[in-house]
Amino acid sequence: MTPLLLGLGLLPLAALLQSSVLPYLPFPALRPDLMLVIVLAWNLARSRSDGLLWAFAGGLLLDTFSAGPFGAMLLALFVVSLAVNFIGAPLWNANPLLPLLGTVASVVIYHAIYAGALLLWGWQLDWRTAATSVVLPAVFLDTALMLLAYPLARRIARSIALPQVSL
Amino acid sequence: MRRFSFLGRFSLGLLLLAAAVLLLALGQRAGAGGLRTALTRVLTPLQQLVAQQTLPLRQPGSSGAPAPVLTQVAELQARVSSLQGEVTRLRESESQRLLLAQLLKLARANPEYRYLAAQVIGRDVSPYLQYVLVDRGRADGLLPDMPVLAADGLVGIVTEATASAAKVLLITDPTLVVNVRVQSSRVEGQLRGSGPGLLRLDFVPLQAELAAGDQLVTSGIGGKFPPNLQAGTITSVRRRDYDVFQEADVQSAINFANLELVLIITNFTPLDLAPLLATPVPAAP
Repeated sequence: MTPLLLGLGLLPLAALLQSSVLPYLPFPALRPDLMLVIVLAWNLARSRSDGLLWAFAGGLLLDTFSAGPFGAMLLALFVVSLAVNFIGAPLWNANPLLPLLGTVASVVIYHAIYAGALLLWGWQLDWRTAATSVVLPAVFLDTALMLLAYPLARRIARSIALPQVSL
Repeated sequence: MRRFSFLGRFSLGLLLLAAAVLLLALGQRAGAGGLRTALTRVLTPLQQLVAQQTLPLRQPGSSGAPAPVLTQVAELQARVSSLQGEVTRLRESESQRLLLAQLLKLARANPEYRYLAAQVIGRDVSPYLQYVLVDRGRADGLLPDMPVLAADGLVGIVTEATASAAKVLLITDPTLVVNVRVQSSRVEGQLRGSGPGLLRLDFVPLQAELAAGDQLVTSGIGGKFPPNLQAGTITSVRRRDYDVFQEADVQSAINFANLELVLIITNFTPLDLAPLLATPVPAAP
């Protein structure tokens, strides 16, 4: 299976789950950014161009399921994925704590860019409520989810990587 | 080869970043709006399917705990699971019937309006925005600005509608202001969302009598919502002598986290008061 086909199946499913299933789980206040975690895990595990395409497609799907300004989630998701992708998988793989630290930083930056875009487009936000009831729980939840997602993404990335032949 | 791959990835990254910025800059204009509409058209049927399949998740009491399996006989296990499926379906029907009965009662209480029932098929993926998506759209006669109700009162307002789905802005969103009246004292104020599931009553004069337990209904002022729709109950009042206005925390009777069915008033026309509110410019001497 190619990464693009995998993304084609996985990303719409993640968007649908994030919109129609996760909010109805027993603890509605705990809403992980499923798409962010999946796209980040893929970029952490495999620093290739397909990770960037995943980020772009994932952002478009999220914006489709949102009433916010079109492109805001796309921009936030793409910027953090781009940074993670260019830092490179070898560095992330060097220490097991690095992907988690990268996730914490990415979640904060993702929410900051998204909230900034909302403000820029005239939406009202209460910063204190946003920080305490959205960003902080998201940091913990997304990082916890990354503990599962990153090893899984590495495993899949390794299984579909082309064998390196040196002469 | 590796260098070429990096350059290729770098170019792709820049190109997609530029596209993302461009889409955000375009906002709802033709190109971006068309793309969103096209994606919505493709994804809405899938979302409806997912919403249908996960309906028991939204009614925690309805799925029922499985009875302890006392025997390993395959036939009996199959029978038990079949009966459990039947029970789940019946409980689901009962929940739906109760919900519909409540909505019918509400519709009968306000017979002057025409209603359209819609199922909530999703929530906004942004944790900052309080919207839900419903499975009715322009093809069913839905238009932006139509008020949305549930059995326990006002839910919000339709903001966008495609052919088969619509986005509803909830009253818990800080951007939506609802003019309300305290039912007992007739005092007026503005109700606004102050976080997920929370509401705040503001702009109530300091001299007015407010107390916990007071019921709020829409006042109809501003012409955006019909009057006398249930909006919530005051839970606590904050009054400071040095302020001009007092404010109060309000609890809606609606559980916004578990909205399933809503009613949309299709024959209410919001008033456009903007021309009347324009400040007159004095004539030059």
